[in-house]
Amino acid sequence: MTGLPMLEVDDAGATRGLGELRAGAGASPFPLCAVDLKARVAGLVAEVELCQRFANPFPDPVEAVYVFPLAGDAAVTSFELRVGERRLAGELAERAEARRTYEEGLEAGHRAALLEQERDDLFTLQVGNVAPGEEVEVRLTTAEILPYRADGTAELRLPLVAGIRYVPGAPLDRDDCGDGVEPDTDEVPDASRITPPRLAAGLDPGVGLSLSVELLHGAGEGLAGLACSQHAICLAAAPGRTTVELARGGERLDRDFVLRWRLAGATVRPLLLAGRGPEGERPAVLTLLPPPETGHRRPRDVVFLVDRSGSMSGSKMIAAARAGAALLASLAATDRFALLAFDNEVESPDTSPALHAATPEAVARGERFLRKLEGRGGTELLPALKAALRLVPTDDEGRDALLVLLTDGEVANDGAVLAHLQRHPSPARIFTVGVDTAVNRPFLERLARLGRGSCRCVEPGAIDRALGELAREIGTPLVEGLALADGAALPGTVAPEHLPDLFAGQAAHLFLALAPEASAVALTGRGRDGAWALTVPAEELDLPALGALWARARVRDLEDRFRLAEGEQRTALREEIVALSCRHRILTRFTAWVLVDREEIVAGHERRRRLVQPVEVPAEWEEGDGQAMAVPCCSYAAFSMPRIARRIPRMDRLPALRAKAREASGEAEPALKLSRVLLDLRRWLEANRPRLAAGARLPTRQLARLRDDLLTVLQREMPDEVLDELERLFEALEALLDAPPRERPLHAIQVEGLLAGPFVRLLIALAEGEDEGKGGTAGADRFWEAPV
Amino acid sequence: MNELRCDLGALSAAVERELARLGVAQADGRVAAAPDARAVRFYQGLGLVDRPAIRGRRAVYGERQLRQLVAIKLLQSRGLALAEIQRRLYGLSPAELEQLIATAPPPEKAPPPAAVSWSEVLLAPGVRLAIEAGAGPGLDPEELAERARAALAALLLTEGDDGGRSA
Repeated sequence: MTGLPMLEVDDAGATRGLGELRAGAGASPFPLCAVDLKARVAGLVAEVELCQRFANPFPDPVEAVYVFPLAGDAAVTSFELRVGERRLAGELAERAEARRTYEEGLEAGHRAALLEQERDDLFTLQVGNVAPGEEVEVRLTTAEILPYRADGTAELRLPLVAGIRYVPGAPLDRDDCGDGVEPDTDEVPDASRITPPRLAAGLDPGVGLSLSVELLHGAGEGLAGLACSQHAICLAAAPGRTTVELARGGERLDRDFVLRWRLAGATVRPLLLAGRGPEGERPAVLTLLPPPETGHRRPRDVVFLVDRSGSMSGSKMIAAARAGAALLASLAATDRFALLAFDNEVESPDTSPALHAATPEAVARGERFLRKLEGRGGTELLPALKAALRLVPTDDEGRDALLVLLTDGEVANDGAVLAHLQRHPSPARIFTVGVDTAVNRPFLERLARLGRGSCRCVEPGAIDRALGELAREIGTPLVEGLALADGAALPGTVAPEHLPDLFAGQAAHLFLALAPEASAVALTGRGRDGAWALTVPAEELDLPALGALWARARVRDLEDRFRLAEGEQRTALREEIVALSCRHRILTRFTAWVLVDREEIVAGHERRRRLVQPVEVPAEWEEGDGQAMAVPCCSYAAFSMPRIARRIPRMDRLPALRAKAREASGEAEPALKLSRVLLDLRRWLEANRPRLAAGARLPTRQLARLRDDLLTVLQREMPDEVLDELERLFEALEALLDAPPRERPLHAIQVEGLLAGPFVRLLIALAEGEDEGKGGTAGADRFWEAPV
Repeated sequence: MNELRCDLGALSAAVERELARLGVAQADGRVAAAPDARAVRFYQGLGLVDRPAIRGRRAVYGERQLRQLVAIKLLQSRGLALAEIQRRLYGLSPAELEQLIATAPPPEKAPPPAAVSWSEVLLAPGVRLAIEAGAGPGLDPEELAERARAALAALLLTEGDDGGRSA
């Protein structure tokens, strides 16, 4: 006898009619039922709590396997399982040991959970012995430092779906190590761990998503330019705090949540934030800004490498081509360039690719080539990168060599690509431009860092805004050869260990452990016009996450070294990473979070089923066999508004709210001219108002969604006559929502047509109309004809 | 059935044989009787078909994949969309998969159009009244015809008197 209580499982009623919907029509058979993210951002440090709820709709206990993403820089600092009222805390252990603990727990019939890291941003969670009908909750917390731009723009990216990575290589003659849909290959030995099954088109997995971001700032300071590029959001402002939530219910987990905002001017300066650890250590982060651009630019040799693989099809390809064209247009007459596109093979406008002078004719030819690109084939990045790097001259004095890679970065052999670059350093700096709704950012960042360049990620729906900046920022650094003066940092604690160069527009973060007595850090470097020097005083900060962040950065360096290491050196590096992981309680690839619920044994556990959660196809991905899952990406600007959580304010309060919002945002939004877009909108209203006035019997959820869309539009500046019409529509919808569904007047109306068609397109057009005013480059303008 | 260990071509042929045995091969024009490599790979991506085992760099399919493909094709022949098939097949044990194949509902045929009978009554030369049996306003067809004749007469009379304007 074990003495442990046995869970009695009621088998009656647990059987379901086969060949029929289980558990009633529309019920989801998938284990994951809800995801909740709560982010709290202070300055540039974000702490996120992620809660995943799993249920078991089967008559036997299940083991759920879920492959999911987290921000690539995030350190996973805690892991917890909740069963009813009980909370079980996870332990960090060496990975093999953790896996063993988990398996043994499972075999003994206990509930158990295991969290492993597959890539910088990709994780596998296993929760086993969830009893029939039971719900359990997995909670984990992460900390990260946010990418930051020289104009004070910070970016928070909460990835919600694992990208579909291209797996090169031949299958290995052994059992696969994971539960994914691709076999392990010689080039990607863990392919089966990073390729979760996908949902068929049209299947709603019924995963409830809730998300909130709390931005803390000085009480008197506002946040400017808050914008969410891929989701509709609503805001609640309080002194010193702004809360952002999803404006719509029922959002799918099919694209990154990307929020950008600008910090108050006074805080946009070099910063050295130092914390204090339990043993008196002083983990610190140093944020550096590039100096203003001065001096003249040297002539450049630029090799453009454009990903035209199948995963880039559709709007991503168009966005990448536009970015490429904008960059081409930014070349000076003294520059030279070569243009390559790749999938399984490498193509070029020339029969034998070579560097050409950037004459208007050559640039025009390049643009034509880009415009004609269509996605197809695999993402054979490594051979393409090798081909591109061969075009880089090795001895050209007085010129700067650049390689610009435009891609979604969705390859599974990222390690092999990085290793190649490490073994064969190129004279060309490597710049990566990530284009996707769910981009593989950490890989592109590492690639750029190892290539001494920079990385910029853009959502396909927001490409125009970024074009001008891309063209300005990609190029030679403003400061290179950075060095820290001795004494301030403890030896061997600076991460990244190869200090980055400073590029126009982008801030750089360095981590270090401050010496006990140090009160500032002095740096030197080479600017364009000569020596560059800076001293940044330390500011003490009570932020326990700093230690974890430092450790995460340090582990990244060690991982880069590990990639090339052999023999004993390899073992030593692994041990160092494990030690850092356990000391600072952060997840790494060599450790795992594990927990076993030893208090209970789940009945019937020997009949346990293993269920791999199928995940969404990322938005804007186009696949064969009718798998296209194009979700329009709207670029919504947002205003500070008093709390609008679930309940949307009544119409009569809106004008006052808008006035307040304008006041709060502190800057006038560019007035929107009464363009074609708005005329379309009016036409649409005219066509639909009779039906809406008659009170169409619309499903409540769709009605609410339409109303929320409208509210987002209503928060924008636009001519009064348009506003009046929109407000009338809003009122009609509110009235409909207030009536019980059964009592709504009958009227036949095609809801799908109403929502999927003109209105959503109009929202996109509204957003884009605004971008138009903000300018771009000459090359970008010519791409307006492209069918976006 | 013996343990199946075969390549994709043989698997495809086995699925076709099994579908023919179950009488679903010609059930619906939309259903390709034999899934080709691309289709199998696509189902694999949805987690509907297990990955093959790799033996000496060759993909080896077995009984499990055969039964999964048969189930997919069977449900497709019943007019189910792939999304619905994914929902139904998800997480099934081998026994449940067998049970599903054995008990899959018969092909969904459109219900035959119900026989509707109409009776026609001559109201006046060139004017007929059509009445659906059992769905009319509840009057005996003859009585209805009688009233209609009266109404028609009144209508024609009014028309002739004041050009369509009744007091």
